[in-house]
Amino acid sequence: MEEKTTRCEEFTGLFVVRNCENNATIVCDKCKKNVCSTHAFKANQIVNPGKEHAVYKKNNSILCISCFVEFDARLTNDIELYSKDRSVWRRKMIHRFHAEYPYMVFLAEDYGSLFDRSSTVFLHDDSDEGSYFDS
Amino acid sequence: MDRQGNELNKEQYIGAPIERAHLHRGFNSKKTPVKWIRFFRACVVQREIAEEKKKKKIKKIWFIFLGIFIGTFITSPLTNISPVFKILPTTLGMLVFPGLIVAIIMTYRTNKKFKKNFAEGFDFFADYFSALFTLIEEDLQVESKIALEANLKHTITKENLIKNEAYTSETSGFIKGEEEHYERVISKGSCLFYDESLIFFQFTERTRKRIILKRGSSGKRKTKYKYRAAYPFTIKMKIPKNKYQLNPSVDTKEISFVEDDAYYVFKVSRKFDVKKENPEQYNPYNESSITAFAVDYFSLEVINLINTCYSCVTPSA
Repeated sequence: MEEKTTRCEEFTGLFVVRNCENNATIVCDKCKKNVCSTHAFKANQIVNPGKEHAVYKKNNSILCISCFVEFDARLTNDIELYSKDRSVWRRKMIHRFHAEYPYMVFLAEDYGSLFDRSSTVFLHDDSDEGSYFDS
Repeated sequence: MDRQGNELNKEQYIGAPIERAHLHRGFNSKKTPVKWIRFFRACVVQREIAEEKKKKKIKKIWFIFLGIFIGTFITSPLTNISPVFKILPTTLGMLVFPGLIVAIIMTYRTNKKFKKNFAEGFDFFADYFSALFTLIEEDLQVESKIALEANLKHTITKENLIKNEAYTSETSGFIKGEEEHYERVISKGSCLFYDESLIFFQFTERTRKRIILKRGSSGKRKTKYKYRAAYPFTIKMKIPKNKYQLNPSVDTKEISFVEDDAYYVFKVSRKFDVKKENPEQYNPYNESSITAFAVDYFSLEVINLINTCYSCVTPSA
């Protein structure tokens, strides 16, 4: 009998926002959301947590990226991009982008199968019309 | 969670000259965002290691010279003890002048070798494009690569000169002037988004060099060089017609728009100009001003160009 799998409840994307397609393997200790390992973070890595958040750090809790970003007091300049923390940096920057710019976001699930995974990756030809920039 | 907080350490990049070589030729490749970020990081780390080594070597050279120089004076009183010791200050004294020449030559050669091996001005490029690629990483198709071509050479060179014209000024003492305009494409590239939109980008440095011959208050003639640089970042975005429909009103003042059979094609540009945006940071004597823009600011402004293109369409219902 097939085991029932739970999908990760986090999202990916900046413009076309999609539900994460990975299977959930962990439950966030704070919000109880099911998340995959890509979207799960160790609370003991949080730098300068506030008093109310220190308990998660002390208990070595596992948090979803949303809760981790909420607690993490690091400035974006202090985050190493060649690491898993790159997604924390991205999430912080997306929050800033949404706060500072009038933005366009399309939620993939609102459009049925329109944004289903496509397979055009091999058709991408970057040599296309470089002269467009000359005008 | 395994790699959380990991950093690329220096030990991983000692003795790997490939990134350095790429930097000098300029590079043209296709990689996934994370591989590009690793490449940029490796280039920066390699340069840092080499710069540390260079500084140590130069310090050592001058430390030896200083030892000879000070030794001459310290050993002088020894001649009072016995004439035999006279040989020490005499020998050291004779080495001071040749030692100075050798130290100057060795410092010059060490600096020259470093400049030959490592391109300058790459750190800003690494920071800006690491940030940009991180922001769009999740919007790319799975395993999709970003094509990127970069030219990290100096802008003010003969081959980049596009215009040369006379310059006049009413300021006192002005004799004659000339303006040279240079343009270099720092980088260009493309990628494919998850929704099959194609993004082409181009980042350019445009520099105006003003050469002014004037007479100073003492009556002496002098030549001044002043610079002004601007950095247009242009995005061309091809949005597939089978997924999106065009909004009824597209502001063609800000956005250039054409369409073909399969795509809506938008072109938007953002000129980074420190004199206009942050005048207190503008220094007319610096050739380049790109580092005046913070990484966060740069990447969000570029992302906003893509956002502007998306604002012209709506997904097909």
